[in-house]
Amino acid sequence: MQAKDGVIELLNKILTADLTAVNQYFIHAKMCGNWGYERLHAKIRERSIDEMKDADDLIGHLLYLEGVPNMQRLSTVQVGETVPEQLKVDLKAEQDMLKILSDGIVHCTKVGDFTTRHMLEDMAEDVDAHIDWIETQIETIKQVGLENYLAQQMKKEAS
Amino acid sequence: MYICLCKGLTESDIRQAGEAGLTEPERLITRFGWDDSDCCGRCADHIDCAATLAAESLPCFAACPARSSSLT
Ligand code: FES
Ligand SMILES: [Fe+2]
Ligand SMILES: [Fe+2]
Repeated sequence: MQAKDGVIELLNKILTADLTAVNQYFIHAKMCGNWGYERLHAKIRERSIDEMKDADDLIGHLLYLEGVPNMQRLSTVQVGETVPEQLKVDLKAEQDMLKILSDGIVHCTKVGDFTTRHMLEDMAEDVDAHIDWIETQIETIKQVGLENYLAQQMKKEAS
Repeated sequence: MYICLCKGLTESDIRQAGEAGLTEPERLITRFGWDDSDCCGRCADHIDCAATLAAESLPCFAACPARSSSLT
């Protein structure tokens, strides 16, 4: 199917953000695991896989629209040296993502591409959940202090 | 923060270079190997950011009278 004006570029822009996030979360997850913060390791690893699933959907949709998915381009992967630094840059990544998605949703409405718009709306919902989780962590650190917070991250969450 | 993943450098690595007087872009590039072929090129492209960080770490920076004028 032929894509509407600007939709391929838009999808590739989101793909770049997602592929960057996959790497950023993955390194943060592994660092947390290495520090012994099992709960954070599991949570952030899950985040990374969520972004991979977004990339999966985007690539499929790009091909369906006869576009070429740009697997080459990555933005700057921001790596924090500490858990609070990691949370801060991850929050920034999600906020940037939300902006790109919101602009994308507006664009899709304008050119009448409702399938793509629906897809972006679903992704924006996930971003909201991610932002929510990160903000909760930052708030908890403020309330209980970093040491107490980190002590709680040593064990895996009961599932 | 890590500022260079290709060379595994953190902000404090850059600050240390600054403290040792390394602040000029060319010298920082040579010192950290940012022109090596295994680098993505981001750090050389954004060398001014590293140079600013290094300059701020000069021991004389806080006391420097020319500071406000040179940074604006
Ligand atoms: S991140 Fe520093 S050269 Fe690639
Ligand atoms: Fe995503
Ligand atoms: Fe996300």
